[in-house]
Amino acid sequence: MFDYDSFFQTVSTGAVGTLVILGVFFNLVTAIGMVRLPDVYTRMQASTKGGTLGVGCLIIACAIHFGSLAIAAQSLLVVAFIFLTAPVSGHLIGRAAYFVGAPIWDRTAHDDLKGCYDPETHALSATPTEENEIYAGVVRQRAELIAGGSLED
Amino acid sequence: MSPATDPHAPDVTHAVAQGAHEAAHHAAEQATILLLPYSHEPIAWVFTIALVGLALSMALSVGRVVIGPNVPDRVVSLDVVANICVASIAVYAMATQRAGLIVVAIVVALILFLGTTAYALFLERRARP
Repeated sequence: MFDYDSFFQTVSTGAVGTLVILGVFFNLVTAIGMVRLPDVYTRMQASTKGGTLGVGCLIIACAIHFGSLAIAAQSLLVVAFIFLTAPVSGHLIGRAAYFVGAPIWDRTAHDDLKGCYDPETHALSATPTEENEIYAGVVRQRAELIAGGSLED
Repeated sequence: MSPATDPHAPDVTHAVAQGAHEAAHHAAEQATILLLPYSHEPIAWVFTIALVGLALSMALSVGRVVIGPNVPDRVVSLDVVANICVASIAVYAMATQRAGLIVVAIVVALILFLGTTAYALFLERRARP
């Protein structure tokens, strides 16, 4: 007769072992990335993605290991919280790093904010500064048209 | 008659020494049980290797905290250190069968988010003229 208890025990132990090894692997990759990558922005890539995935794997292993609904709920709460907060804090730190003037790697291919941030006035514009005037003019014109009632018909 | 010269007094020092010895033995046994409840099963090796790997990655991240050339570098690598803290708490909870440690992981994750956000806002405010 098939022994369900021993089968589930084996499966859960195997899943826990696999998830733990995976999580530690991702954490190690994150740490190596922290040491090896050239600037803050690329390092943030490693920290947000690799760190989130590694911690997520380990906490889900925890949820499987204890085999209780309450502990699984608590563990999934941790996972949900980390998945929600890691992108937010990564975005905030990247923004602050750009404003502080953290150096960008010289082989970076594309910088979307180049010419859009004015360090004197701490103003961000949607387009680089030369086109900024034209864009603001178009916006003003449209606002005047709407206020004057020309677009009502 | 002083207790030291009383031949019928109980041997206090011997009893104290024996009690201390028993307490130490009990503590050692307790520690062994608490740290390695699965030491006869192969999953204990997985947890041990996991803790060693997490320690290695934490050492690498702390190295970046030390050598990081400016403040955002250090904030990002401290973020990684706290993440590895949460991971270590999870592995330790599994290795010692203490489910209550998950709550500690929740609290550390909360404080990690608050700390990173506060530092980012502080940096941004400092950059503002």
